Amino acid sequence: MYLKKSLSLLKFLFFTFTKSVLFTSFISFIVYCLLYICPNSDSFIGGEKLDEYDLSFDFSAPEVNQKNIITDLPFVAGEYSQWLLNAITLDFGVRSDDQEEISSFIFDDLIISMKFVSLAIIVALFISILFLFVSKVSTLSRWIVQPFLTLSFFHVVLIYLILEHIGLNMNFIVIFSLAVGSGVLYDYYTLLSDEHHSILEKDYSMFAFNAGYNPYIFASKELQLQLISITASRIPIVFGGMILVEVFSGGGKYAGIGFRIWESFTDNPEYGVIFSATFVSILLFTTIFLIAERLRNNLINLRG
Amino acid sequence: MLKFLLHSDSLFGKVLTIISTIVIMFFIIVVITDNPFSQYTYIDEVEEERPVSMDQIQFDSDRSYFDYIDKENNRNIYILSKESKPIFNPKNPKELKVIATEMFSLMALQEYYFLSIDKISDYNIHPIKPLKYTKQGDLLILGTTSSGNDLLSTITASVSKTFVLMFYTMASFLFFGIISGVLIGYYRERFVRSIGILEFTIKTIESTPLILWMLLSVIIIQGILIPLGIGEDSQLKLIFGFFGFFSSPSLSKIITNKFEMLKSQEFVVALKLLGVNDRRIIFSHILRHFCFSSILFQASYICAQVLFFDFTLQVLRFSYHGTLGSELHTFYVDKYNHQFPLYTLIFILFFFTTFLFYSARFFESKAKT
Repeated sequence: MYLKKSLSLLKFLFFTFTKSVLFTSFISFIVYCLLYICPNSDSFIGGEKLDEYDLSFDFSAPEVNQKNIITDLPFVAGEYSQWLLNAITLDFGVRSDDQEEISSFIFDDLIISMKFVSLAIIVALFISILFLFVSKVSTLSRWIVQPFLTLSFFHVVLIYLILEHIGLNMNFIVIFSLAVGSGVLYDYYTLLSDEHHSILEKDYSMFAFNAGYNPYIFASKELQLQLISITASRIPIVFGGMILVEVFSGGGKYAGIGFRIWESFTDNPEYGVIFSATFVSILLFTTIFLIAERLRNNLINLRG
Repeated sequence: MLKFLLHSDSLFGKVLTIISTIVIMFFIIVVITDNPFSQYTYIDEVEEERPVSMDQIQFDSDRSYFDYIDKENNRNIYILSKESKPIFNPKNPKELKVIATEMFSLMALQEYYFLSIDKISDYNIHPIKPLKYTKQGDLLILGTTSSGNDLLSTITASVSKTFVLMFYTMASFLFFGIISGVLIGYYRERFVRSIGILEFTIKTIESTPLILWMLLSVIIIQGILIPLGIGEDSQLKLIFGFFGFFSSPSLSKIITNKFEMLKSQEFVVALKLLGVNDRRIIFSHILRHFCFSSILFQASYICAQVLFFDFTLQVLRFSYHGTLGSELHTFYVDKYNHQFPLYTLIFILFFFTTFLFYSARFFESKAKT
C-alpha cells in the first residue's frame, strides 16, 4: 500500500516536471528567438552566424542588424537545442566578461530569493492562523485584525521610517514587508479563512464536532490540501515583491535571481545569464503551479 | 453615474468616491482642453521644458514686494518691485543696501535678504506657491516646480501620457484576455489539442511572476529597439502592451469560467437550435450580457496596475520620462526641493487609485448580481 502510494507520487511528480519542462522549453524558445534579434547579443547567440555574414561584408554600406529570425530559424533552433541539451547537465555556459560558469552562481541566487520568499510565506501563514483564532472575538477582529490586514508596502515603509533609529534587523523588515505588503497577507488570510470556514461548516465536520470529536482531525486532509494549494498560489506574488526589494536594496545580501537578471542587463548586457536565470525561474514556478493545480483538482474530486 | 457615486456602503466610501470622481473629471477636462488656466499648459511647451519666466509674476497691488522662502539657504527673501527703487551694494550687485525706511530696517534686523526684481531671473525663485497669477493673467493653480515649470501643466502632461499607456495596456489586455477566454471556454471540445496548448501557455504565463515577465520584456525591448534608434515613447507603448498581455490570463480565466457555466444553459442551446451563428452567440449574447461587468471590473483593476507598474519601472531604474511614475520618482529623489509637488502628486495618485478601486468594486458587485 505504502509502496503503491509512493510510486503514484513519484509518477505524478515526474509527469508534472516533464510537462513543465516541455512548456518552459516552448516559451523559452520564443524568448531565445527574441534575444537572438538583439543586436548586441552576439556573445550569447549568433556570433558564428554573424561571422558567416561578415565574409561578404560591405564596409561602405551603413551598419545594420544583419540577423534575420525568419531565415535564421533553423540555425537558432539548432543553437537552442544545443543549449537545452547542455542545460540538462546543468551547463548553462559561461559569463562572457570573466568566463565564470553561470551554473556556479545562478542556483545560489535562486536559493537566496526562495529563502526570503519562503520565510515571508511562513510569516504570513503564522499571522493568518493567529488572526483566524483571534477573529473569533469580534472586538479583537474589529480593532486588531482588520486594520492590520489593510497594511500595505506604503504603511510598512512609514513604520520603518518611524522605527529606523531603533535599529531593527533589516532581514526582519524585508521578510515582514514581503509577508504583509501589497495585499499579500490580506489575500492569503481571506482565502485561508474562507476555506477554513467552508470546510468546518461541512456535514462531516459538524457531525464530528457535535459527537465530541475534533473536527480538525476529520477534515485534516482537505485542510492540508487547501493550505498547500493556496500557499503555492501566493509564491509568484511574493517573489515579485522580492525582485523589487532586491533591486531597491542594490543587491548585497539580498542579491537574488531577480537582481541577477536586472544587473546582467544594466551595464554590459549578459544575455546568457539573463536567459538562463529566466529559464530556471519559469521552470520552477511552472512546476509549483502545476503541483498546486493538481492538488486543487484532487480536492475537487475529493469533494465530488 | 449616481448609482456609482453612491454604491459604497459606508459614508466614508461615498465621500471618497465622490471626491475621487471629481479629481478624475477635473484631470480629464484639463487634459482634453490643454489646461485652460494657464498659457503654460500646452503639453508641448511643458515637454520642451519652457520655464515660467520670472518677470511674469504679478505683484499684489497693495504690496511692493513678493515674499519667498529660500529653503536651500534657509532665509526669507523679499523681492522688491521696480517702484521700490532699491540701491545696490556695488560690491555685490545682487545684494541691496538696506533702504532707510522703517519697514526695511526692521526686516534687515530680522536678517531678511533683499533682491531686486531686475535681478530676479538670476535667482532661483521656484517653486512658486500655488494660486499665483502671471502678468498675462494665467493662473498657476499648483504653482511651479523647482525647474520653473507650471506644476499643473507638468502633471497634466504626465497624466495624458499615462492615459495613453493605460489605453495600450487595456487594448492588449482585453484583446488577449477575451480571445483566449472565448477560445478556451467555447471551442475547447472542437479543437482539443490546439486549445490544450493555448491553455497550458496561459498557465505558464500565469504561474510565473508578472514582474519577472516584465523585467524580461523590458530587457528585450530595450535590447532590440535602442540600437535601432527607436524612441522612448514607442518603447513605453510596447512595454505596456506586453504588460496587458501578461496580465490577460486573469481575464481569460474569468471569461472561460463564464462560458463553461453558460454554454450548456438552455438559452444558448436554444440560440444554437435557432441557427444563430457562434460569433453572435459569443459577442451579442454571452459577452455583452454576462461578461461585460466582469470585463469592466478587470479593466479598472488593470488601470490601477498600470499606475503601480509605471512607478515600478522607475524603481527598477529603467528611466522613462514624462509619465506619472517618472514625475513621482523625480520629485521623490529630490524630495527636499519638491515637497509640495511630491505630496500633491501623491494625493492625485491616491484619488486616481481610489477611483479605480471603487470602480472595480462597483463592477464586481454588478458582475455578481
